[in-house]
Amino acid sequence: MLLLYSSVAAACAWALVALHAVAIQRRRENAAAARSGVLGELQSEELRHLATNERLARTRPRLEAMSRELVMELAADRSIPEPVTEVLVQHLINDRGDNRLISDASAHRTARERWRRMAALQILAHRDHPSTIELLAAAVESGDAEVTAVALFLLGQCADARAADVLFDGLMRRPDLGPKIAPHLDRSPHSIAHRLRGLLSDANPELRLWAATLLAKYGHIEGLDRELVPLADDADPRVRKAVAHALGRIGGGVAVDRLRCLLSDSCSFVRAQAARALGELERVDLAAEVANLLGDENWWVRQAAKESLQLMGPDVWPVVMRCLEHRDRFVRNGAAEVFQNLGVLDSLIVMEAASDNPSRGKIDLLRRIAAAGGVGFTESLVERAGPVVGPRVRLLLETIGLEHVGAC
Amino acid sequence: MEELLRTIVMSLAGASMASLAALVLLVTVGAVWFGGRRDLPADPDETTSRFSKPVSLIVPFGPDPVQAADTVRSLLELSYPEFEVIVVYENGGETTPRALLEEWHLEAKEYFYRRSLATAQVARIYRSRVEPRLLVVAKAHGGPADAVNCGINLARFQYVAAVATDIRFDKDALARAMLPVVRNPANVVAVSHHVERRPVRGVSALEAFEWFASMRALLFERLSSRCRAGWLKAADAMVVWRRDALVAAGGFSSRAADPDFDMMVRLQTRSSDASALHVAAGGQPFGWRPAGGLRWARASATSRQLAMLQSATRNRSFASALELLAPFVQALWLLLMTASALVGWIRPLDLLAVGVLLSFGSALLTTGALIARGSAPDAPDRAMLARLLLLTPLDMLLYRPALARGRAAGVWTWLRTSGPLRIIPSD
Repeated sequence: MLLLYSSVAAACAWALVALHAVAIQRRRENAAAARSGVLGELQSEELRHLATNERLARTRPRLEAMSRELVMELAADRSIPEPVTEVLVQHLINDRGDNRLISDASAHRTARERWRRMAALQILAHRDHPSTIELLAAAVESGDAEVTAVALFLLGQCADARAADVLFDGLMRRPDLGPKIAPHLDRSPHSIAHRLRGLLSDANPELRLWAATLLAKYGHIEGLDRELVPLADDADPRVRKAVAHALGRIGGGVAVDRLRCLLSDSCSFVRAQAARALGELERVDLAAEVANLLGDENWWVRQAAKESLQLMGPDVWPVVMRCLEHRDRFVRNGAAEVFQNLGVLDSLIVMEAASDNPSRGKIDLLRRIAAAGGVGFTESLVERAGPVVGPRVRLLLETIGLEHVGAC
Repeated sequence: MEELLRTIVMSLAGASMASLAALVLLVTVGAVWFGGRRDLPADPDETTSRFSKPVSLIVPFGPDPVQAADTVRSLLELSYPEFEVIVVYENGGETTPRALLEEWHLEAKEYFYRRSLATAQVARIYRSRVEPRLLVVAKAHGGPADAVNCGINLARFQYVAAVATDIRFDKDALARAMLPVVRNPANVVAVSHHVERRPVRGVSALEAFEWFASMRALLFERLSSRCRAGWLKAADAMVVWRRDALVAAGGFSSRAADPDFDMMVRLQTRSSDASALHVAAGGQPFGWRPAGGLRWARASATSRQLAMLQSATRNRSFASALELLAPFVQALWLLLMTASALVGWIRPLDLLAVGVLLSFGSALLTTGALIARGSAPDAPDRAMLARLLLLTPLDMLLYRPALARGRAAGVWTWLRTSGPLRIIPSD
């Protein structure tokens, strides 16, 4: 009997879920039809040039047949032209008044109310409503991830100087939202450097981390590097990484000295960031210290060392050349790749091929580079070398162990 | 003795039924809970900013140059900021199809390159005079894995992906595909993105069953990534790889039943630190391809089964283990109940109830997958949806048994070549 009852139960469960699927699709199709109908009418030639109130009067029957949520969804959609959005917002205000939108944007309990809150916030922010900043500040504190994300996005778009303060206060109270808040603060045209500097000595490592990260763009402020340097010894490696990033933007003797120390940090991502920072500062004089990381145990650090050396430019070639003799194959491989990507290799090949007396040592060097993985791909080198040197280049490339594919 | 045997059989059958029921309920509840919700689209700035990672896209193709030309055109229209397209043509000779030569004004160039991975002979390499991002390679036949390895040898960028010529995608597909890499470049070594297999025009019953299988695969991928159950790759997927990891692993194997799956397992087992090399599930489909037909579905079931068995001892993915075991548990339950009915331990009506349970259990899961697919592009309309829903109970009765033959072939091949029945040649 158990099997019989179970099979009936399974069939009934399936039927219920199937009806649920059909109901969802029916609602979806009805909403899509209503949406396209009202947008089509509002953008038609007949109505396009009329005033807002007249267009509203003409489309009222359609709008009243739609659910309030659907109208809100359309009004919050930034891809819809402004004249159309004006009509939709006016309909919402006429329907339940301005206060209803504010009420929707203020709080929520159910999932449906949450959705309405997000849509209302977008509508009010787009209209530059006077209560926008307060409502967005409350939304950041709401504790709901989706509502907070929408509020942060809207604050980041807001030209009002108070928006930056709200974002900063949000960061203070909820450092865990740092990854979401920081990009908006970083893009804000309003300076908050004075407030960020105060966080550098905060007891919370998350706040120190975000303060160091965001201060990177204020390199023009006198003495900022000296304020950041002590944090290079912070107990939290994420803070040390953020400091490395910031010092890489600021530059200067004090910053570079600290970055050199961070190249031997115990944490891999700190070492990687320090290497990249020195590359961005184009400190060719420190290429040898960065090149030591080509043999690091961590792939990400080795990758950072390669990229850093490439950023420093062709002048690093003597350092990289010495690395080709290293006993560690990762160092040899990394050096060979840097040679290739700097374009130095092509010049070496052509120079040796053009010489009447090619040096055996240099040819061996090229062979070692090829074996170490430095020559990924040479393109048009024979053509660029010209009719006299070209055949010699071809011969040289063949002798250093590369695969040859002819053109005819 | 008979009583003892009956107890054992019924206990096994009961355990099988309970585990299957638990799986179906969990997955269906998960699908209905998450279903219909559209994941927030990626912020385009995240993948198309100056910090985006360049990608080499490899397009291996053989006898159908028209499809390859369409794919190349679509790839070159992608919105991604930096990428190259390497077309690898395998036809055992030097001639490259005229359609490609003329459309892209290709001219053969002389190249020297380092062969990091062993491949069949490369005959010609062409550059386009009108499209600097395009490279076309003509080589001797070596198979799909060999063609991709050839593309890896010639790739300039840190990330590579093979794109089959029958996949259709929109211009933002690569930006979505690279999002997990951009978010965690230090640890992500591969990202797998589901490619939906669906009908092109109208829906026959067979195409509908194939579509169901594809939707279930997408559902499992999404649930696995949310529950961190470990995910490798769906049968139909486009994977973005880190190039140096592929070279270090020796490239794709021509002998593996599913070279992508085999590579994923190898990458995960190469590193002693599980967090150091991370295979991510994309969560959003890369694109779609037309339904392949029953012959394709059977062959795919064979290769998938073989691939999973070949890697069974090395595979750490819980989701993959479930995929391997679930059909066996179903088959075991059916076998035990059929045997019980034959010896009279249960009534024929009970056996019928077993069939109904299997059908509607599977239908429940498939309906959950339909809901979870949500309003993704080309969602079926209400009439089509109703038709599809009515077909869901027939999936287990009509389609899966046809695939079972394919699975059994995969098991048999594994037993003969790698398993206990392997024939070891004598000296």
